[in-house]
Amino acid sequence: MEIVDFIAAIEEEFEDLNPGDVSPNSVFRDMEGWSSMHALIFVALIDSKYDVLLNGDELKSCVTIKDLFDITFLKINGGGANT
Amino acid sequence: MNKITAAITGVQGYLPEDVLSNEDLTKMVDTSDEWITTRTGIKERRIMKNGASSDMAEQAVIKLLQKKNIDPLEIELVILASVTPDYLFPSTANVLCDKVGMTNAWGFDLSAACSGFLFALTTATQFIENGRYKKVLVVGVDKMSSIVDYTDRTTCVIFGDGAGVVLLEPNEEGLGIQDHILRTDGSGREFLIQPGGGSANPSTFETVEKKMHFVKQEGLQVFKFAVTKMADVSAEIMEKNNLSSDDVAWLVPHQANLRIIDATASRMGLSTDKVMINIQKYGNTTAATLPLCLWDYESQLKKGDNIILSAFGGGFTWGAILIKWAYNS
Repeated sequence: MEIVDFIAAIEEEFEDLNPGDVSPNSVFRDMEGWSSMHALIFVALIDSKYDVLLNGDELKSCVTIKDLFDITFLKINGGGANT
Repeated sequence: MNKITAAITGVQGYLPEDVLSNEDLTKMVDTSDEWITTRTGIKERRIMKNGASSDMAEQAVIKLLQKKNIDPLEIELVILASVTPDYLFPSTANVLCDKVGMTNAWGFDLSAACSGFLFALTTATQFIENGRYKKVLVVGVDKMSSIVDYTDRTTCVIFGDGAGVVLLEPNEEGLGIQDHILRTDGSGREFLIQPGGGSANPSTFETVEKKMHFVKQEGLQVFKFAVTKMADVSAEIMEKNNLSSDDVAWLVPHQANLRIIDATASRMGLSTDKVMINIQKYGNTTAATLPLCLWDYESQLKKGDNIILSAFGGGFTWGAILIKWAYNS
């Protein structure tokens, strides 16, 4: 699991994002037009791609894309992320 | 003379007796009760082991006619929404009219997947509002177990079987169906589809081998579409009719996924006690979810309540209907 693949999946799912728009340090709540619907889609994307279901508290604890990646990686492996 | 509106004056459901629980599914595919519950909200669903969609619809219609003390010969039109008709033709509405003895009625099937009941109810409304018909039945029925692949853990946990029916009659008090917003977007057709059996892929040994007669779903794409469109259209019909969240008594959402239902209610500003939910008991019964909700909650509905029905489904199809409820139970 690589963060570049994680970011590529996000950029592919959100129609208003282009390749290169998102970096590990991107604050996802600052994305243009961000709403609670985007949060649900993030959760569904991670669930679909990695079979990991983030709960509301876990999502709230994340600020950047890297935070999301790290918590997903931890839930898969219980170890550190390969960034 | 007052304008004639089309009002729901009776509702009835039918569910097969056999229960397929999450625990049962763990013995069939690699899943768990926790996985299914956290992702969908479903605990169990009903399965019809013997019989066809028309048999479930027949039970619902007979009970409704008995409850309303209406002779089958009084029914003039039957519109039946389903993606699991008894046959490609003749229509299941046709079969149903024969089975129940509604020999003065004509009828037809309507295919709009999980939005089918919304589309059928809107269509039926036109026949009442124009003054030509006095008693119309709108049926939502699906035997999803007949097209679900019970080796596919992504779809087999979702669907169940069931039927619901409403009676539509003229109303001169301004009650009943007030407004509708219906949409289709065929560019999404590949994401939720039963690919085999129609003229695009006629039934062959190959279509059977490739499991093309089962429901195929791209879960993430459907979720993305559903969570945005169902919330958007529900909020849109409120705005169009100048309704605040305080004005809405009930949301009747399509029962596909509890997270989508919660997101829709949240977007409308509705508390959970105004949302009809029975997904935990029946799963997604496709065209039957909305009338089954109305049936389950009928005793709590009051004359004059503003009720919003909202759904999305394969096609893609989606929409919302605003109803001013016409009777106290």
